[in-house]
Amino acid sequence: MLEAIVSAASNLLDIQVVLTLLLGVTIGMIFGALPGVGGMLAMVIALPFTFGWEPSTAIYFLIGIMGSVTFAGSIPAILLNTPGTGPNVCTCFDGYPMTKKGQGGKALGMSATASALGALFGVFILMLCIPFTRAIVLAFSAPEFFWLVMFGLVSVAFAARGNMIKGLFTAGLGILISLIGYSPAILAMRFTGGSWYLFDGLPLIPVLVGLFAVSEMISYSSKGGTIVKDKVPGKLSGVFDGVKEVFRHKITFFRSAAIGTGIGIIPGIGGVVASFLAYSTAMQSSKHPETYGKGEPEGIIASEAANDAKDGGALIPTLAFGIPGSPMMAILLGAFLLHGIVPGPQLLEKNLDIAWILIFGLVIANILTSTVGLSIASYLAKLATIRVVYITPIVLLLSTSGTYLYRGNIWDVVLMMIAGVLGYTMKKYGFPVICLVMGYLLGILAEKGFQQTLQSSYGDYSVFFTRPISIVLIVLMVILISLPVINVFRSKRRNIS
Amino acid sequence: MIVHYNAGGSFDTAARVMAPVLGKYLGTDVVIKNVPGSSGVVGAAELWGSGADGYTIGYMNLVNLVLFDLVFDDMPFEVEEFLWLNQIMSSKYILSVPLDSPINTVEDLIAASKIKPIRLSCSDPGAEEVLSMNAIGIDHTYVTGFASNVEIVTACLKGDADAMIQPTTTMLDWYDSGDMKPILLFGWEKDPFLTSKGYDVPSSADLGYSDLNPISGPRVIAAPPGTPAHIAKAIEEAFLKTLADPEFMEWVTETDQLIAPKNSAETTKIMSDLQNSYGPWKEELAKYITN
Repeated sequence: MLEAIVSAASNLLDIQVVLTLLLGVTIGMIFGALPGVGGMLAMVIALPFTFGWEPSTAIYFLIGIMGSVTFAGSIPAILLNTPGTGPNVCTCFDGYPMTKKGQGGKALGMSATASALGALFGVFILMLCIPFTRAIVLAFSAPEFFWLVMFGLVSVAFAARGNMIKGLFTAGLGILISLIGYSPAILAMRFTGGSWYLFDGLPLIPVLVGLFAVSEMISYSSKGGTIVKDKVPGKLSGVFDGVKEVFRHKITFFRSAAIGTGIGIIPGIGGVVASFLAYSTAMQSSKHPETYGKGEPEGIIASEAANDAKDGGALIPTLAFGIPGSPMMAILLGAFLLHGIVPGPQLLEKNLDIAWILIFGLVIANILTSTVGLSIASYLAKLATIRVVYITPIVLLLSTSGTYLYRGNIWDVVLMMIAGVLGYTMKKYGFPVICLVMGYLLGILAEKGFQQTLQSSYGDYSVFFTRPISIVLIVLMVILISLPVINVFRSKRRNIS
Repeated sequence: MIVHYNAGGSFDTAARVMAPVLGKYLGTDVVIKNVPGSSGVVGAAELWGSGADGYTIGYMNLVNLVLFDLVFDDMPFEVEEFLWLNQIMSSKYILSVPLDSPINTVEDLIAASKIKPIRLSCSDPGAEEVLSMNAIGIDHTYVTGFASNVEIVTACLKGDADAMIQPTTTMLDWYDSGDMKPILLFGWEKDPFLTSKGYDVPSSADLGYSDLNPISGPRVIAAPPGTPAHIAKAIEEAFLKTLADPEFMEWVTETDQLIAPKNSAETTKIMSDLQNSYGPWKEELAKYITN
């Protein structure tokens, strides 16, 4: 173990490695901050350039990109209501209202701090878990996966506070959309209308870019003017207020980071769900849930701590068995292969130093990104004073080219535009877009967990309720649902006494 | 060169390693274009519709294309009409169970299946599973929807499934790590690669299931129909040189790739062998692929 740590750390004494890590961080920040072109695209484009590099250098480079995109993605989420990457979606909910109130700098400060600390938390858990990675991954079987996804779906119901009917309607629509394509569950095409494009279902990137970036640009264009009506106080003090704010909400921070790490460990669920669960749990357990969505600092902390903590968690299945915990991790595994490192069950035995390279890389990338973020936040905040006629075409251009570059299919661009119009219409009539996204992400996963459970139990339903982790998840779900009731009951009691 | 899978996968990686070496022999730049989707159909359709001037070729998963062409009537291409120039790699498939499973031989598997159907984990039942289970006569069911080889293996390790059929190359690591053990290899003979690593696995030919011998996963180079013969020949030869090039071989040995270079005639034979082997099971395969 010690030898591996020393070997991984010694790489960092090489100036060339440090420079490539810096380069990775820079690329990651740029790609993360540009709406529509996420970290995946950055990694796909960067991958071929690492041919012929030392494996450790290449991995530092790529993990630099991975570690930096998520915080960078919160910048446009906060300032423009357009998430730079998928997992920043929940950061928009409270980040953008803060910007509108002229607190953009403070929101960025919070996001930078919560991101860096969240990532550290995730990595810390990862380090603790290295000896047990295999046991952790094997403990999560099909029934546990099913209940975890149900947990996510149930929390959708709270997301649309005030108009639950609209929220549930939209989530249902999202689930239907998620069922499009070839289904390994029933071994047939569903809702494809004979189109080969729909065989694999609606692709994630065009849908998300359309729903969040394009729709926002449509609404900007219809309003005109600037995002912030008054002059933004781009003061540095605001940024440091943000830093302090994170330390004031320790419980929210730790709970969210823990949720993020936990979701990261389970492959196939992803950062959007991680930050959403952290967000809705924070709201659900808050004494003043009504402030969420209107510029509640805890909302940003929850979302950003969770989406950065998930990277540490996602490394657990990657190191244990070579299972990619997230789409970006899948590209990283491709890079391993390219450099002759076989990501499989023996990775930790044969290449323990890789684990430490990933850990160091992730930590350094996050700290660097957040430091840079903090130091330029007050300037960045002024972005919100630029007239939207200048912002819209740039974001649209980036969204379109990013979506096209993702896999070179022009139909993806068409889909992105359709999703954009849909997102705009939904927002206009008060249908929460996030509910659609959660249904779309989780619907198919719920089906998969359900079907795999029944397939492996020869059709016996009792397995859903007989396994310890499943029961814990069910209990947690019940608590989450009843939390507001408990809170009301408590405060009533207090009033009486 | 069209690669019909995403960037970063094993197909893509091999193509990107080959591209500069191939370019050297062809005297031109070779650019990779990823056209993923529909298990490779989208990429194959794009190749089918590309100009037959030798400037567009594809690195393809032959089995999927043969299978889809057999089962679906409305495929946007005809498998026989592509020019099959080279085979680059070919994976052999192997049936495995967890190391702690009481099953050690094919007979054990047949016996166990009489008590409870064998649960096979897979992404969705493919030709390997459908053909082998039916030909051997193993009562079975499928646990499906896994996104990668690793998920398929871990499903067995978690106890969600009993057995699995995957390429030997992906399994070796799991044998070495003491998680899984091999039961049956599909092919005409024992695999020298596995034997050299100390795993003496009976082949389907050894056990008398010769119908299952062609089961394999050839990764091949194709050109659109109508590509002029002399250009096709030049590309075929450039690939044969690429596959023997020291620069390419360095990557092969370093990363333990299993290359299996074949010329155009041999590759075309592999294609028709697959068609012959799958043909009789069309109905059974169609159950799992179209429904």
